[in-house]
Amino acid sequence: MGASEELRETLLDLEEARKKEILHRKMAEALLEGLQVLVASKDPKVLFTRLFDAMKKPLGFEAAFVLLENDDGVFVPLTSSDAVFMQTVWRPAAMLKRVIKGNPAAVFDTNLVGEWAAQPEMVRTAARSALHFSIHTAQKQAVMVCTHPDRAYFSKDHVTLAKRFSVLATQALQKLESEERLADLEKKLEDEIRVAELNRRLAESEQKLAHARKMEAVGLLAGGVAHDLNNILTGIASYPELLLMDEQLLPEHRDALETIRDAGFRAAAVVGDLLTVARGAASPREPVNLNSIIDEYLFSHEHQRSLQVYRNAEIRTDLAEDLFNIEGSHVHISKALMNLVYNAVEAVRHTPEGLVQVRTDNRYVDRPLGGYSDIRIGEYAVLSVSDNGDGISSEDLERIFEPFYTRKTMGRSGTGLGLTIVWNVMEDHKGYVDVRTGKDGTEFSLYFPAIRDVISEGEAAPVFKDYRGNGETVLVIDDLEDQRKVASAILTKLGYRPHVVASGEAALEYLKDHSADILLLDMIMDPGMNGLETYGKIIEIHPGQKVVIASGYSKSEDVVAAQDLGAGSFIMKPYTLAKLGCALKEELQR
Amino acid sequence: MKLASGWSTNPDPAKASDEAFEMILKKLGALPHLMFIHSSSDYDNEALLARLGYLAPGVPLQGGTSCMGVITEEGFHTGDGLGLGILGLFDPDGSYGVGIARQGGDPAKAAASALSQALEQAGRPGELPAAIVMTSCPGHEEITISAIEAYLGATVPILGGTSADNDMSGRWQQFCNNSVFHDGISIAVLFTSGDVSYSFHSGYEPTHHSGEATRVSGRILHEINGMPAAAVYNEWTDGLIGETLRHGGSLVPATTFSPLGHPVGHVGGISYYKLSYPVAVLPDKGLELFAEIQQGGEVVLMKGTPDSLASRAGRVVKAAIDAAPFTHDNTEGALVLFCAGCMLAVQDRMDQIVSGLKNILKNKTFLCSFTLGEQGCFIGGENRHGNLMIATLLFGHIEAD
Repeated sequence: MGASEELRETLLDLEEARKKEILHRKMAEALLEGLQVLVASKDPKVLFTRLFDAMKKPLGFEAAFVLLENDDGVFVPLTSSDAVFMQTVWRPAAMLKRVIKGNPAAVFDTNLVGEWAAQPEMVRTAARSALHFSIHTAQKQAVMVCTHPDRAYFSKDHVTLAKRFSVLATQALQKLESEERLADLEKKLEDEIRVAELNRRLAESEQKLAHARKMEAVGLLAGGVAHDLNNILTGIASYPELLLMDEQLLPEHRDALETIRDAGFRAAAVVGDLLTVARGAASPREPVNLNSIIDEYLFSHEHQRSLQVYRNAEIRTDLAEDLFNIEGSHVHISKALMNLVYNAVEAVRHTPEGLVQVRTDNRYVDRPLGGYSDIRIGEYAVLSVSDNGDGISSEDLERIFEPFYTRKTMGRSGTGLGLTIVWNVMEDHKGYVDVRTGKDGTEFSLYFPAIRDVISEGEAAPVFKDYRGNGETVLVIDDLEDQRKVASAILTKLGYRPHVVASGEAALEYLKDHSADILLLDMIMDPGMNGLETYGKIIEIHPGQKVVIASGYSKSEDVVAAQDLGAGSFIMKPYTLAKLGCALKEELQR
Repeated sequence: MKLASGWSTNPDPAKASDEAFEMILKKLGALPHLMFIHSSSDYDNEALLARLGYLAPGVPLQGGTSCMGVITEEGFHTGDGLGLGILGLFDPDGSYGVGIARQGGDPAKAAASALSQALEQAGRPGELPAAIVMTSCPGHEEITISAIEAYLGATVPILGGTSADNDMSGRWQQFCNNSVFHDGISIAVLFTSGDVSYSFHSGYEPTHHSGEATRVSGRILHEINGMPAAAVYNEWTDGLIGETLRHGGSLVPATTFSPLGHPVGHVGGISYYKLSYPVAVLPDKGLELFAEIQQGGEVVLMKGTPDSLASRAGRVVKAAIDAAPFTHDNTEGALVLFCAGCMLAVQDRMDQIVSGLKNILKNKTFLCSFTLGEQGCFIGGENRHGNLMIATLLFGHIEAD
């Protein structure tokens, strides 16, 4: 072959390559434009109308329409650029079946093709040649038909473009459909998650309700027991205290009496635990600072005694200097702290270098804590007690706050109420308990709602002379003889002149003819009138009658009602000299 | 889509059919969906087709006679002027049909008729095929192409060969199923599941001799620049046909390396040509051609060499591969139509032609037939009839996206 022929051929080949490149570029641009229309439009009619515009130039058709398969397998126009095609019905025969399978078909004479021959003449006249290709999704089958009034208009290049577009358009539509299905699935999943969350909350509520009922039962039990026990303990704890005031007492007797007294007070503390657990027990609230409570507890005789039992534990504190104050019950928080520290100390009893850390800090909480579905967003003063013991198993963790559930010797009282107290204290304080545990130890964090109130300076402990009476008459109204005797003895020791009656009715009878400077009124008396009813009758006879209310039970609604009528201080049995003396003094001076 | 070739030089047409078909069956493992049959005119081709029809019932058969023999990927197959070649297409997802008609006095009508039959057999009446393969008797190829384009439009590539005999004695035949015609047009329509590529070139380059075809009637070129065409041609070729010019007669094969060309298109300033083979000097000193030249059109003396003709087949196939929408790996095979006149002129270089095709179509199936005229699709997309050309149709599949 000569050089000139080779040159000619090379140039021809180059030209051919250039022509093909131009053709491919135009096809690619047309495809891109068509695909952009597909992915930009959601409404099928709008989509195809735009698609017709985009594909008209590269395919050169006069009109186009889209056939959509209905439930009967018949194809009907979804949309058309020419109304003449809108009334047509298409039953797929050989040609359309191949098209639906993904093989585009160019028809050079519609009169020769079965599906077209079945159409009205005006339709065939408007479309002497046609190009068909499928655009389908996993759900829907569609065929796009491009038409031209000239016979044999469409070419192999049109078929090639249609085939590529068919594949890409199908992929684009399936992608869209997949995205829609994915969105549906996500929505369903969200719904399911929402339902699951509702179910979880329902289960949690049911669990809380069951817990509350259990606690209510415990509370009722505890309340009833506590009332009786406190009355009994009054004798055990109070008589020794009276006897111990005798300076002539023999040393051996003094020791015995002190032991009896302390045992009584410890028993009273157990009852106190029970009362703390009891629901509805009102407790005095005042602005307090957790750091003060911690300091006080850690230097307390009780704490030092527990450390002597568990010498292995080292206690460290890390208290925030600017810790928020809280509105709380000093006594109850102290009890909660005591139980947590005691449990922590016990948890590390076999741990080399056992460490218990007590920390406080301020936190802003804006998301749920473990175990709570909802929390009140805001500032909290947080008291944390952590240990480096073996942690709590997940089975135990679910039940540790239940009354009388114990996996070890929990709580100072050993009654299985230690963490129940913690839970109830936090419920009463509208706070939260967060427990984190693992093989490296356990941390209990108590979240108390913070306040911005300032705490007033603490008052010095009262001394006997400050609360001693001055011969005033005191009418003791109590249905229990032991209580009457103890009260009478203490009152006498305090310098008052006591008179005792065994019921509300007896008190009314007495006061018809007598007066008393002040009453010491038991709230729960049986049978007959209770304390509230008795006080109501008495002030009818002696308006403004001063009274101190006493009960072996926590401050109840009746106590509050009586105070609303004008009653003075409330004190809990068992009586102590100082407690009773201060209450009477305060009321007499009011 | 899968292709397989079979061949035989057995003089017994039935045995030749058996041998060639057995190769096809063995390679495909199933009956093909279309078979191109090209055989020597010396065969009893009616017997041959009848046997093939028996062996492959219902399979469309299309083809015609080839000069001397055929080439497949296994070599040039001829034995005493006898050779049979078959190209089988296995394509269950495609559609194929064939048709044939006698040209009689209306070759256009015959072409439309054959085409219509083919589309009907393919089950695709009215649909545009991927390609047309035609075989005709010499004489009316241009009309046939025009008729096909009038029927289908001008966008379907046509590959065709004018059926040949071994000695230009007129024993050429056209095949379709079990029909063997001497004056027919046989057409196959191809709706492939894959795609096709094509190429149509000569092995010739233009010389500086050119003029205007000032008087033309059909395939008779009477005058160039107002002078007797044979005289002008003789002058351009430095007396190549001086003896025949004086006495008249056949110019074959003397003019094989010096045909006339007619520019049919320009690409990038470069002309490409349809060739017309001067086959005889007429009494008026006009030239009888094997292809038409338009009156008023430019006539150029073309020049070829044995080297260019021998290497040409491979280069034409390569051009088709380069232009194909599928990769070489996805090429299944090719049908090649090679000018019989060229083949006869370079008969001593058949090994070179075979190796040229095999080098390009590595490990692929092909069948090459030798024809007296070639129809193909030029680079500009025009379907044309020409002489001394090589036309190829390449089959391949496109991998799914």
